[in-house]
Amino acid sequence: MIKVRDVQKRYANPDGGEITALSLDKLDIEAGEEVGVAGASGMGKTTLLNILCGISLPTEGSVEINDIEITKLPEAKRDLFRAQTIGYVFQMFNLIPSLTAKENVMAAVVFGKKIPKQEREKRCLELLERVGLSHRVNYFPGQLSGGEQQRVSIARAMGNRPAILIVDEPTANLDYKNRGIILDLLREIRRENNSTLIIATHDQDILKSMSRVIELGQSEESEASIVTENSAA
Amino acid sequence: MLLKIALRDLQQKFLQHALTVLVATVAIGFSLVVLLMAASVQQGMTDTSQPFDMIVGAKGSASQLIFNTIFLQENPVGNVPESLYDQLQEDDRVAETIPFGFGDNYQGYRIVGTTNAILELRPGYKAKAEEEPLFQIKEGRFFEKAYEVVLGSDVAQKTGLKIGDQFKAVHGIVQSIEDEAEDHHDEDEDHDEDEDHHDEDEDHDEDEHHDESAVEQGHHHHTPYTVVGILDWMHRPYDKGIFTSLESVWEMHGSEHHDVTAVMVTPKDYTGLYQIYQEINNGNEAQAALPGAVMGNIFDTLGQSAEVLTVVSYIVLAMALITIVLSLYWSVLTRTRENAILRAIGAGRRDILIVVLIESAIIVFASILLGLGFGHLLAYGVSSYLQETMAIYSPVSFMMQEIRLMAVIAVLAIGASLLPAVNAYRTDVAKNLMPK
Repeated sequence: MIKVRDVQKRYANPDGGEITALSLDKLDIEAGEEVGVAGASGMGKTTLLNILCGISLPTEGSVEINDIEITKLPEAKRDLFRAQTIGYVFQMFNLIPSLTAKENVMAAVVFGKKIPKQEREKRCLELLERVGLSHRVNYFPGQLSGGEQQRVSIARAMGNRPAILIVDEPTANLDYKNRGIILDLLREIRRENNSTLIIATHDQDILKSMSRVIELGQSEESEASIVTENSAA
Repeated sequence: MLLKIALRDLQQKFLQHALTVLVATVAIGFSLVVLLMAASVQQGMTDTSQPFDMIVGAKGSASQLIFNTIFLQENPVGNVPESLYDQLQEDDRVAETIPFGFGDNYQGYRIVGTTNAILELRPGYKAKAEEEPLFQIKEGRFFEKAYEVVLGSDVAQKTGLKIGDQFKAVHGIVQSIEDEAEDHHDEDEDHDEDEDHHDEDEDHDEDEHHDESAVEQGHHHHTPYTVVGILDWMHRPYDKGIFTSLESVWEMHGSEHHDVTAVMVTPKDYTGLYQIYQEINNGNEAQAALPGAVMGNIFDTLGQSAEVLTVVSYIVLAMALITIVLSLYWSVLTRTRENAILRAIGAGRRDILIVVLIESAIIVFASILLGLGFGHLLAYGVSSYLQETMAIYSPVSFMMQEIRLMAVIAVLAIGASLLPAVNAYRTDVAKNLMPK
């Protein structure tokens, strides 16, 4: 379970003031939930995702995941926690261009230190097969299509069997056909691993299909906070 | 995995890193040459001059006397009368004398008039019975009669002369025995034949490269020399000498005055050496030069040049280090997003630091290995050139000093690469995840 309490993320302004990128009083996400994060650009979607996975620390407040307050963990432990607990699928795929598809997945598995050494290679190949890329394991990102790169990115995110899968605009750079393939894949993998799925997107079709949607927007107190929260049918 | 990431990054920026390695290789190579050659040339020259305790010759430059007699370079200073040579031979303090008479050449190779006393010349200071003499006959025999010659091995190899072959010498060394005889003994009347030679020789006085000009401008003597023996390699300048009896040189020039160009003197002890040294140098007739001391002075002068070169090579090395650091820094800057991605998928700051250090270590060790190879190759080239042109043997070998230098370079370069590594270590993940 994820518990976010009184989180504020503020940045310094060039004119000497401060800008509040995110303000959340309370957010709870249950294990196995499918949560959509909506909101216009600049409303703090990516900031929230970065805080949830420990890439960024909030200026104030706390984030607890499975009873561990990650905002209090030292950086090295937070890195390891992220590698072992959270799979992150980036908007721009964010594959390492100098590594092959298999090596990109392997990097996450190695840094996660969760999968035994002798099983790592097998795990990577299984994941790439699972996302339909067993014929592209030795391809570099530059040799793959956008859809294929996103599938490698999903395989990499699943490398350490994470409890939470965080996905940032998964279909923003994909065509209609690939968009459907990627969404189906994310859902299947979530079900197989019983993971929590958090997707930040503008795509209304995706948002409608989520069990719950959090919309970030401007409120009276803050420039970016939850303005509506609803459960989909 | 970290090694693979580092290797793949190097591979991806191959041209950039290859250029860095090239610059560092050249810098390390040049520094090594300075280090290796300074030591080996000094060793080569010291080895060459070691058998000669003291050289007695005409008044003038001591280094010229040494270089002419021992290294077969430069022009003879002049001649000393035979009486001085006789006097030295009879001196109780003297263990051994070897006379030298220079005057002619064949294809630029000097003809050295001497006696079979030269057969006793041994490699180290003070003739040691247990050491093999330098002059070893490889083929034929040593000269016995006038106009018989023994060839240094380099002469035999380059000219192709064999036992039994005959050749005519070219009158060529600037201040030849004959000319000195004319200068010192004005009463000589029979000069008609020699006047032309004298004029030529005066021209040569102005020409430092007397060997080549002698070949071009000198005239051939009528009486041919006959090759009776070929010497084994000595790895010394005498490999470039043609040895004959003093009588041959005297007869060739038709001089009645049996002067010699130089006499090597081996005293029985150091007291004798310094007494003779003082006596001769206090007189007006000749000078005595101690090769060890002359070499010492030359090395002092060379040492100053070597020091300047060493400083220059260190500056070049420092620039190579800066190039490595800049290249790595640039590499880190262009990889900021990749580092952020690695951090985002679980790599720790330390992992990123290690990747940069691995890259740095690969670049540095590749540069060191290639630099060592390049430096030794270059040193071999310089050594071969010195051997070819001056017969100074300066074999280049691995030295502890170069291992120390390489260790210092490795530590400094990898240490300096901590700068870009720390920069990578500090990568702000959230800020750099999105493409710029």
